[in-house]
Amino acid sequence: MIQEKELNTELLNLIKRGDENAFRIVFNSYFPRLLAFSAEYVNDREVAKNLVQESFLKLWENRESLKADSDLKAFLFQVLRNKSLNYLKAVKVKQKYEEHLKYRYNELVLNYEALNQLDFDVLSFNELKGIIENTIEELPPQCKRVFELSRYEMLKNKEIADKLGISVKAVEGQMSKALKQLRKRLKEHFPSDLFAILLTII
Amino acid sequence: MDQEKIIQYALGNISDVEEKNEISQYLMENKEAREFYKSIKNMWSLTKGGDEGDGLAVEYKRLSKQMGRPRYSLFRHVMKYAAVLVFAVAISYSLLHYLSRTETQPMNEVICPAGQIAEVVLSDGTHVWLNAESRIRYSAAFNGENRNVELSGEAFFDVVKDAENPFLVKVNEMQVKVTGTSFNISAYPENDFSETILVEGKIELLNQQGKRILELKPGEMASYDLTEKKIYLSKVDTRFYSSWKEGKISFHNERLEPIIAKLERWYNVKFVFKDEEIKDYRFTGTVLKNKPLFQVLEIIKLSSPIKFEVIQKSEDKNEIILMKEN
Repeated sequence: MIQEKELNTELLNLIKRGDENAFRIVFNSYFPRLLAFSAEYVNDREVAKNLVQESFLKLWENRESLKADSDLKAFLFQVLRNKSLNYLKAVKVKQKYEEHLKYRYNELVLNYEALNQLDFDVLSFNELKGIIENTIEELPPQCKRVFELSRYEMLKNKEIADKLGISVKAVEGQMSKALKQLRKRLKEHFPSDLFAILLTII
Repeated sequence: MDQEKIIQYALGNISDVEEKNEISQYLMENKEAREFYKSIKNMWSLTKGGDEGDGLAVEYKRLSKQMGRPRYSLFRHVMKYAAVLVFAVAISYSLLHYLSRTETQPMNEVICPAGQIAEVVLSDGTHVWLNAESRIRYSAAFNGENRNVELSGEAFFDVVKDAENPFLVKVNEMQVKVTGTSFNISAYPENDFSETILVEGKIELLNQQGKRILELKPGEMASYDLTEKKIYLSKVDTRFYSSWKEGKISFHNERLEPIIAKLERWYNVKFVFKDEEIKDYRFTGTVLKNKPLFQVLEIIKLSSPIKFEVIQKSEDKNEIILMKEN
């Protein structure tokens, strides 16, 4: 297999020359993950779809001025992050505060803050992804299985429980275990102040 | 509040409104818990699997509408001359053919060689675009009343309307009857099927004896299976089937084998599959005919574990070996 880095460079060069085929490869490769990423914060899949579209449009329109060493994936995630932040900010202003639905407002604030910490201009996107992938590989089998069912197949806890013949409580436990392990690994790899921004220790 | 609960909340597993209000309020007021929530949220957003939205093809279509048309000015120019050239060659060939025929019914034949697209205007004003390695035959007496043609290969027809004198396309074991409309037919002799796709208007499929089999509506495709003698009707995106006449081949989640067959005709080369399994790899995309072949191959290589070896042949077509990359 071609290394991801070489692939990135090849595609980047083609896109800079206006090659739509290469652009489409990038679109097909990253659209799903970008959509899932943005939807996690904006809590509205339709809005997220538009934000992802706008991000790709920005890549296409600025293709000629892309730097030769740009990382397409990091570029897209960063653009999408900024667009999602702007959206959350705008909605926050408009959101009417209703006592019985106060979580809506709270979530806007919390998700805005969370996303704001995730600055791909500062953090190395690839490094971050790499550590996450490796950590998942190292998880105990059952824990990994639960985590992957949730992550790739987007099954709800109940569905995972049924599928594996374990209790919902056990699924929740395995998910927590996986995420805590991830957190631990990330702290080991980014002991600097830089990462403290992302993962404050309790 | 325990971490488990915060994790479940961050993952969106809590649906009770009361509980959501309570947890979110707790997070707003408690700095440590809040930081924990944010780190879980961020990790989850980065690890979570993908969401294809309404499907990648649909999403891309939406995007490409905003992208503005790519610039093909040079290409259009080249294509125009290429078509004229083929037309000229085709005419002289058909004349030659015509002169050498001994049948009582003299026939004209327009042949479009591999690697070319030809545009033909028939005497009734009907436009026919011939794809690579395709030919149409029609009586020398073709006129406003006798509008019969025979097709082998692939063609896009834009038929001039005339309700009284239907236009008939004879294609392997069937006939397509139209009064005025545009449609695409693909019936290459090496395939054991033919496909008729209607873009607009109305067409009827007739059997060899001229008996009506079925009627097609716009956006429908009739695939005729020559071995089973069966017709399959399906809804299709007509653009994928007629894009070739604009110098592109579009495909959506299509197997590599038929894609390669198209590339062979377009670029006049021969492909050899060294590994059977790569025939089943699926691709989505558009190939522009004006792009050099190596660039198209490069894209395939970049997007899948396939590599190529080119064998230059001075006498015959160049051969390209496709194999799996280990």
